[in-house]
Amino acid sequence: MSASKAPSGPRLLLHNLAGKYDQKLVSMGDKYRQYLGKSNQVNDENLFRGIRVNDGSGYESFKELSDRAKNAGLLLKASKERGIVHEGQIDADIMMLKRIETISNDVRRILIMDGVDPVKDDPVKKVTFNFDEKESIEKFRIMTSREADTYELNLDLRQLLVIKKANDIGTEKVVIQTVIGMDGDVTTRISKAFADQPVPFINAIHQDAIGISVEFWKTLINVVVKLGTHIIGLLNPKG
Amino acid sequence: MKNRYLQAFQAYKELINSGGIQSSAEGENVFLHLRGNITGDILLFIVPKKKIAEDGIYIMELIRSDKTLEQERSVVIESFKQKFKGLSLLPESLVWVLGICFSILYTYWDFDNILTLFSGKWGVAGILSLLPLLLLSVITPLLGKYVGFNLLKPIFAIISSINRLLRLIRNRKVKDSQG
Repeated sequence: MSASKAPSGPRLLLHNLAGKYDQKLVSMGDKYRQYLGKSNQVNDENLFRGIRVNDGSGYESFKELSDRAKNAGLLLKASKERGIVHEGQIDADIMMLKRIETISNDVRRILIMDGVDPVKDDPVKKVTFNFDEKESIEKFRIMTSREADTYELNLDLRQLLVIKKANDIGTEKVVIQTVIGMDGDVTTRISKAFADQPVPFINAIHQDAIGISVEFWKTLINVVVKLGTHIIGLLNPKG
Repeated sequence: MKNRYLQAFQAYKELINSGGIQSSAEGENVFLHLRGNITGDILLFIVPKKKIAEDGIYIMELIRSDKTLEQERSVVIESFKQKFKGLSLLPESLVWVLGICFSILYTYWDFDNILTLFSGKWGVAGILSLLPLLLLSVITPLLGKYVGFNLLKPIFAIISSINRLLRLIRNRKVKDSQG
């Protein structure tokens, strides 16, 4: 993980995300070169990532990342079946490739929606700007806020949070994750490696974090309940 | 109370500047980074201090052998908890303001009808004045699951507007100094 200021808009968030996925594919390709490089099926030059066609973060760039992650995943699965690489080592990487593929597809679906990308919908901007090319992102990065707003993606809150969360998690390994739904469902996922050899410290800090999050939501719900109580109080003249 | 508002101000300032709130601590072998946002999502990152190969098992060993982490954990969690407490002040204040507005409007419009209704004299006007609230209480549990997240929309809208305004001001300054 690297700590830095979050990019200020969805376009730059996406570019950051595409960069992380790109780097991960390259590094995973390097990692498996010794096992897969000699195979007849693969070219050991730039394994997994392949030759880059799109180096930006538009629809086509994420399609390329998704396709490459999918192919790399299939390659790893085949290697696993043939017993070329140790199973424990390969499973986590297959999951990572699956994450890259899934999130890239989610991003593509968002980008293709009507009204999301002002460049896609504008014949003039379409000619001058192509966010699948790095140069367009670089031009966009140094625009004034007012000008950049005309090229910025129009995302609703849910879409923005999908992208933000994808960028936050990036390509980090998730060892334990708890999701608490509004309907009271609680789901905890634990990676196999962590389940086999748990670290008490991680369990404890994970519990602390859940406690803070639940407390925060409790406060928010209490606030709404207080408002309701206040309204009901108004209806009861004796109260 | 003053301290709480200061805490809230600092938490929102951080939220606007970096898109989230963060707390960090440093152990003997690893860094701890807690990152949260206004929806209550919390991400915990554990990063080795020295650059190492990406091997999860090795990081676990670093955590196990770090003697200062337990102490750092309580510090980082406490600081993070305080920041989240600060974040909850804005919705509380919003609801407080909403409550006052609602009270004023309701008293102005329908108080006579409601008084009549509660005094036992059932009338159409009284029932009609209660109807919106009854309807609200019936549909709220049904919609609860879907509404959930939208509860926070007004807060996001405010933060997003402040952020946009700040960006505009900041950019103008840069432009002036260049010109």
